[in-house]
Amino acid sequence: MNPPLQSPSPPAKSRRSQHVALALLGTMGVVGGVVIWHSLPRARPDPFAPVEQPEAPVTPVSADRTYQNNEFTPGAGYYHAPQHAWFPLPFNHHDPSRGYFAGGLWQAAPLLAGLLSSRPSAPAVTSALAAQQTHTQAQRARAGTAGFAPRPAAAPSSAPSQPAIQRGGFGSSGKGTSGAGT
Amino acid sequence: MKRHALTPRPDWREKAATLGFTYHTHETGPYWDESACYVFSAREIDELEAAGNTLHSLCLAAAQVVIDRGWWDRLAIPDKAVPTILDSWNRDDPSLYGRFDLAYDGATPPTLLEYNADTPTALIEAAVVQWYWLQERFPAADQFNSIHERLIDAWRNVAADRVHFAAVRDLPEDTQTITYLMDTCQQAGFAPLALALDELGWDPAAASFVDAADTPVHALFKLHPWEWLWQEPFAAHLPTAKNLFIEPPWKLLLSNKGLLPLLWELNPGHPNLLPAFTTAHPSLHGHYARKPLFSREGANVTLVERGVTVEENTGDYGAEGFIYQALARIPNFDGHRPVCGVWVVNHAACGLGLREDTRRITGNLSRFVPHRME
Repeated sequence: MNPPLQSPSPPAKSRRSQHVALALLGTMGVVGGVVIWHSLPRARPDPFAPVEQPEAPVTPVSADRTYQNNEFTPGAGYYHAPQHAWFPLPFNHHDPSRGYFAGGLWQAAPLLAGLLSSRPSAPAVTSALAAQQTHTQAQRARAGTAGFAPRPAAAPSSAPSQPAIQRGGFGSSGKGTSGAGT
Repeated sequence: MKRHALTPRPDWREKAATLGFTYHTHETGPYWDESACYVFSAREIDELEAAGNTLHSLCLAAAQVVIDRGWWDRLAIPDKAVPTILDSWNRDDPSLYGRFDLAYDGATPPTLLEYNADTPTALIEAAVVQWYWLQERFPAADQFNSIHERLIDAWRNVAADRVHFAAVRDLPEDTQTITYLMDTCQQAGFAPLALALDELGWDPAAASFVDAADTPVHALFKLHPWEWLWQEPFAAHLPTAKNLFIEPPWKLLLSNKGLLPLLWELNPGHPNLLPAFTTAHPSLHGHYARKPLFSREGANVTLVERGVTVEENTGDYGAEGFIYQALARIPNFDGHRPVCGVWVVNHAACGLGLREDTRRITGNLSRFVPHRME
């Protein structure tokens, strides 16, 4: 277990933040900025992409694979690289009433992820495979009997088509490569 | 105010990157420079904080004068932007943040160099990285830096059910800054959504900006200056867009060096202001900084002494005109010249970040140096 990054809180009259916890930024965060921005090209629906089936089988976890810290695997959860195991909440997930979640424990302060990726331990793989199996069974059960009904097909309409959404109208004014900041 | 030499932590690069500060090194050397730190007394920090609050009030008052007297051309604000600015001003659309760049030597009052009121960066290093540096190097010391907590609080003033964040992609400082602000927004209880600026859409049927998944945008944080937005094709939709913008349209009044002569005109002799004019006024006696109304990172700034150019930066700015500001007293610590960036969040000064350079014009290769209090 890594030691907390934070030392005892500064005095009450301190001019600095009492805590600077990160949920998204960097590898201390849940997702990490790089991941957020790399996901952008996928954000717009691809009309040629195959429709994802809700009952699509999940990929079983493996002891031979290296997982990134906070990588999410359906059925298993979020991988905590320093602990070589999966957990239901992201690494350093913050709950104001409980603190920061890491390695199955709630901490007073966020932990520094000393490992950004690792291979899972054998017990963790065994537990995760069992959880994935349960998850898959539940998913199959829901698929046929419960959940939301599919959206009915739209009736043919003689109304004129709506004008298309336009894009690319902002972001062209940058000068040089130093960005928009001042 | 002192500058103390330090031995950098051997693993500072890894620690900086862990915090999302991935742009810590320039092509020419470190941008984050912990081979030194600046040390301030409580009195000096009080003085910087007071200057930040005073200047912010002066800027808001000057903006009201611009509106009352219709001085839009003095700030090179296009006519088409005026109704949108007025609407946002009258609604008091919330402002998240800004950064005053001040000249300060610890002995004389801080003086305003400029107000980066729309798209200030150097935020992660000020709010997060120097905080963690202090925790590790000087855990018992204090720092003028409650930026992180104030940002989280400030988001709670935003009346929207979701907040989109947009920046130009592939610029690490911009995308990381956006990610950090999303982080603070999420900690305030929102579900922030990232968006590349070129993916922002306009839905003519709904008269609304939409994201890449065609979801209507209700509040948009844009790390893209208003003077650029008003020049781009979607500017035509800004007057009818219903969403909240952060920073709001009225920030174009403040993030504009045309405000500097107005501030001096309205508050002559104020201790936190430098004389500034729209021409090389005779009272400057040939000593001044010529600055474009709109520019970034010191581009197209020229320093003149005795009528002779002593330093200048090139760039693509200046088409809207220039202002002429008296030269500031920037201290010189063995060749290092710091500029104090006082952060304002939700209309209150709450933090400090210093950038220093061996040149007199702070530019995009200037270094960020942490600070502490004694």
